[in-house]
Amino acid sequence: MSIALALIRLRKNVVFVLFAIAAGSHVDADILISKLDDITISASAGQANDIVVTNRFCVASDPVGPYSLEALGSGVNNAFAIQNGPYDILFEVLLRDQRTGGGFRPLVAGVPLTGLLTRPLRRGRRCPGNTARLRIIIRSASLQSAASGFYRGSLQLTVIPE
Amino acid sequence: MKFLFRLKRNLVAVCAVFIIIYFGSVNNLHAAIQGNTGATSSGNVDIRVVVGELALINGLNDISLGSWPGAGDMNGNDAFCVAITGAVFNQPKNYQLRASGNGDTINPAAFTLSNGVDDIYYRVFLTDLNGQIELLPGQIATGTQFLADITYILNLIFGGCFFPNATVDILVEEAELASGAGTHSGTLTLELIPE
Repeated sequence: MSIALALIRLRKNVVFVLFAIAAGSHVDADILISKLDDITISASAGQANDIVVTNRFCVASDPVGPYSLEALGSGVNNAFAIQNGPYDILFEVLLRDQRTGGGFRPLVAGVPLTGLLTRPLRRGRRCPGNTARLRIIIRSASLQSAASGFYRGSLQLTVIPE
Repeated sequence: MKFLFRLKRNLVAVCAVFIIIYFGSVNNLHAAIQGNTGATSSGNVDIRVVVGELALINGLNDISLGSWPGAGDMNGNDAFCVAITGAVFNQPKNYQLRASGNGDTINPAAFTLSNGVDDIYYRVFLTDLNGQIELLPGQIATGTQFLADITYILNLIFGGCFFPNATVDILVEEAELASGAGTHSGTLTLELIPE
């Protein structure tokens, strides 16, 4: 009986421990964003069309699961903007998750975009293939009224398991 | 004698000047930062844009000086718009203007009017925020104007020059007028160059 109880207790303990590990694995999932590329654009004089640049990148995790992505720009209050001294040009950022499908969804600076899905993290902590597309749009109206010169900014992307 | 001077509308000059920056070296300044594996992961993308400068000159009209009465100088003028992108609103910005006429045997940009046989010469003046300056054939002069973005945008949106901010004045002196007969005409080309 006691053995049985002990076994039961042991089993309970085992179940409990396993449960704890399972729960812990969700909270502490390893996630990785990589294969990011810089974006370099030359805006022609009389830029009549919007400039649209799309790059692919990869988000993988172990275990695979949903994640959210937060983007911060280098403008005032983390706005999506590139700067040239006192001048700046705003741009739009959109994301398309290839794993969940659907179209491009607009990102708001500092507001996580949820419901995205990772790929499995490979051995060696590598991110296989691409999982998402990042799109930058600079409107022609912004370019036509912009001072000439070299504009530069950055976009920080943070992925968080859900 | 009838002297006609025409600034041809179809020769409105639109300049686009690219500002070339050391593009090759710029490319190598930074590379995208990849994330590290962890509870969260952050990466960085650098975004670099080189923007060319745009200039627009429009609102030019033909100038007809009419008939010379036989004495005195003749003059005429036309108000037009100059606009350049990137100026700070309500702050003066310099620009450069090059005026070229039909030319003569010595200077291909000389300000000349022709009756098909003989040329007579005229002088050109630019009036803007800086006051009035005389433009010399083929030479670049510097003007100053409130070239705010809004001027450019309004011109672009409305497709016209609603708020002229510069004037070109034409002067044909009496001595020139007396030297030729018939109808004289010519073309003056104004080239706006962002400074």
